[in-house]
Amino acid sequence: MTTDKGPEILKIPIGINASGTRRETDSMGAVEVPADRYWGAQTARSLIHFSIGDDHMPKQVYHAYGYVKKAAAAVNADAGRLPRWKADLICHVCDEVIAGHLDEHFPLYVWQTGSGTQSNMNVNEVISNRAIQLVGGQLGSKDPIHPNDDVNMGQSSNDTFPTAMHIAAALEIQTRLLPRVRALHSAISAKSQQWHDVVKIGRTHLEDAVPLTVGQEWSGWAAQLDTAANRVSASRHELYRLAAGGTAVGTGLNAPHNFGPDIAAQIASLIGKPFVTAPNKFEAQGGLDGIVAAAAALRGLAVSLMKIANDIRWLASGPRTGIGELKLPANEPGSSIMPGKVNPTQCEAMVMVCIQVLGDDSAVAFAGSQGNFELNEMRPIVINNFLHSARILGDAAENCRPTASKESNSTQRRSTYTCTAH
Amino acid sequence: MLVTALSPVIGYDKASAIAHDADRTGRTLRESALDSGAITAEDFDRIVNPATMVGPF
Repeated sequence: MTTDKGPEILKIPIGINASGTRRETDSMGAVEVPADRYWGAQTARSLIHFSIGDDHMPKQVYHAYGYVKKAAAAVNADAGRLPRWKADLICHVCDEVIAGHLDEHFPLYVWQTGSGTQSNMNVNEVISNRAIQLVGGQLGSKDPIHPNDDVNMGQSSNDTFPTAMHIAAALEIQTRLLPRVRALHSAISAKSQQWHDVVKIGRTHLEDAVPLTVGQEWSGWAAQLDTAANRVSASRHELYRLAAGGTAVGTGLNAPHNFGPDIAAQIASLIGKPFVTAPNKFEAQGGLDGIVAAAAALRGLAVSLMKIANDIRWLASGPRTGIGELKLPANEPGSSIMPGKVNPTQCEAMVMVCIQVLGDDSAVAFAGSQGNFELNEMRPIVINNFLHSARILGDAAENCRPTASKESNSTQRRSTYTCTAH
Repeated sequence: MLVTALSPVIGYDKASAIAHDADRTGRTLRESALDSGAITAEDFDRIVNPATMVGPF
């Protein structure tokens, strides 16, 4: 075990005070990179060959990668493979990555290698150069922190990118999506109770049927949301299984003994969620089934939200010639030519979001069915679509909440039934 | 949105106020418009006529 004391970590703020370009090298030779950026040669090559569209790898993937690299460094140091001072230095930079402070140094596009290798190398290069800066070294020298030998120790893109995908997906569900969907569910439940005794006519086939209460109708929507949110929550069970430790093809070549369970335990400890090593690395790397299932749960949520949003905007139609049972909060003037027009715009945005989520999910399913043998190399599109779907569903739920909320007095006053049964 | 026909005569803002007033009070558009003082009954009946609103020609 190496126990030598390393150089002192200097208090240098993030940023490189330089202009022009800097010479960086990789196994294919030298490349010029912007002098004020931490990335290296492989990132620069990706920007040259894969500047496709304006779709960038979601930042959440890099934040998740910060956990992966931090956990790997800790495991490697505990086992005596990596000097402790190097691990401490890497962990210091990983905290900056996790916090998003280095986001502008991750410029790559979604449309790159299907394994996500270029984004993994982007992370390795940025952590290497930032660490070098923090000990007063020369950027691009790979000394004392090498992007491959130190930051990527015991890892492959083929096991760490799937790991970062699962972490990013699980965290997005937990921190943003579910709280927003639960809040919308609570708002709809409250309206269901408020209007529990208001009788109206039920409709089937778009034609008049028999009576029910407004509360009963809204309770159905609430139950849909509750069930859909539970499905999304349950989908995290498979996302908690991490591929790390499988390395290139799932066999764990070049990874030390027990690296998979150890790094999963470290990640679980860092994040505080029950991440475990995937029981079969060939499944975890050769397929994308876990995140395909999670995306299908998002699809289910979108289907429920679309039904609810459409019901609400039909019931609010009018005010003079439509159904006119609901009065929605007016967000804005609805028309540039028709004075006084109020439209169910929040519902329209929600319906568009749901349509987009169904499209995102179709692409995820297609990508999940692709890839051959030991690696499904259609990964960036999958994590991009998943995070996109989760983000817009959560945001739309949050934006829609005032439409069905009693929290705002003005909203409550306007969200009353103007007429009930006829 | 028959009120739209009033915009070129009294302006979008006054027409909006009339539409919102009619919606809020449950009155007819004509009642709110005349009550606003922005238009006479004669002009209202001439302008707000669905049969003349179905095409520019």
